[in-house]
Amino acid sequence: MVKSFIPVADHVGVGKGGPPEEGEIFKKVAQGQGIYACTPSGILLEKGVIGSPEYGNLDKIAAKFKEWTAKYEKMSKAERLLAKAPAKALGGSRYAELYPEGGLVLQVQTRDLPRKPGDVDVTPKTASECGKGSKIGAGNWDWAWFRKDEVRAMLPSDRTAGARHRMPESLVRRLAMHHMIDNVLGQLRPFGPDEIKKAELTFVVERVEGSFLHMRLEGATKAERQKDGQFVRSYEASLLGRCAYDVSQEKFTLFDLLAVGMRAGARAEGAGGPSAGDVAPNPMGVGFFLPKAGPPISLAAPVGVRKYGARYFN
Amino acid sequence: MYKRLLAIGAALLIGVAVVGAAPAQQELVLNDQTFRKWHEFIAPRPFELEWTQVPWRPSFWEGVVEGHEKDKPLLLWIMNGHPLSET
Repeated sequence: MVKSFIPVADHVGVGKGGPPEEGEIFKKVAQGQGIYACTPSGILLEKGVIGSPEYGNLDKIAAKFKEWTAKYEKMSKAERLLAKAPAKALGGSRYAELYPEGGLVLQVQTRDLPRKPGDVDVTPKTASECGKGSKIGAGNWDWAWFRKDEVRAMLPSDRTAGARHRMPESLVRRLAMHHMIDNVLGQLRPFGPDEIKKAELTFVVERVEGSFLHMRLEGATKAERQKDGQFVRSYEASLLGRCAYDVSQEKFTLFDLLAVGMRAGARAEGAGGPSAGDVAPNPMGVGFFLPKAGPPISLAAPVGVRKYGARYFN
Repeated sequence: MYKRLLAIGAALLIGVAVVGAAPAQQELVLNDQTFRKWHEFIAPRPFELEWTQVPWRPSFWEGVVEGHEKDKPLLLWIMNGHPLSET
């Protein structure tokens, strides 16, 4: 059924600051968060609400897909398609020119960690367990990008076992600013450059097998925000990981980096409800992994690129 | 006598607080022995990745272009924060 549609995910702010054609079509269809079925010309077939009971039942979802397909096919081509073919260069994968071709794309997972002994066993292991009992294990998701030249700068020039090489501080600071933040409960602005107190990550060559460098990653970061002399939030973590880099292909075949430490202070922009009082120091983890999903999903830009464009790389 | 009891009580409370806090803090150690445990806890679980089975295009315009080319309707997933990254 999904193959009968073009599945698209995007931010509710589509059209703001973008090409006029994109915004014109988008605002005919979407008003706020939700699931929408529409024609390429911008005729709404139906709007659904994320989390609505109507979408919690596979049979109902299947029926909806059939209903939307029938509505679409009843329309003439003149109605459901644009008057002329839309230009591909316009918009496109909105940040395509910044995508780090030949570089490194990492999937970033932030996660609330156990706050008392035994909480590890409480983590939901299936979708049906979510929402029951402990919320430990809540998390958020993002991407981290490194250009090809930056990947080269990460790697030790001495490729013998035992060789150590410090990742350029600017690259570790990118991780600390944009990705080692407590966005577990929702969006959160990155730390500012002056708020990074420590950003260290070292690659250690453990062994070389053919064209593969097997390396250990170890380091530490610390970031703290203050405003008008008052503490706002912080995150301090130890880093440990492992990776494998194929020198002949110029790509990582394994990248597992974890940050484990204590977060404190404000959680999520404008967070209310249960998170408003949850400001005491508590453990949080961040993981950086090679993406399991390929394109087109893995082409999605980090939130730092969406908000700051090329400055994300500075 | 009363002050002595108060001091003993305070010491007991502090002792309990320290002992009570120690196990959780001790568990927050990242080293070669605990790496695997933390990796399993932090990495996305299979059910958290089910949505990636759908080939979501990461921008609305891409969907419009492809939908027009292939004469197919769009299924839009719109969130505050991009659904494919931080929300």
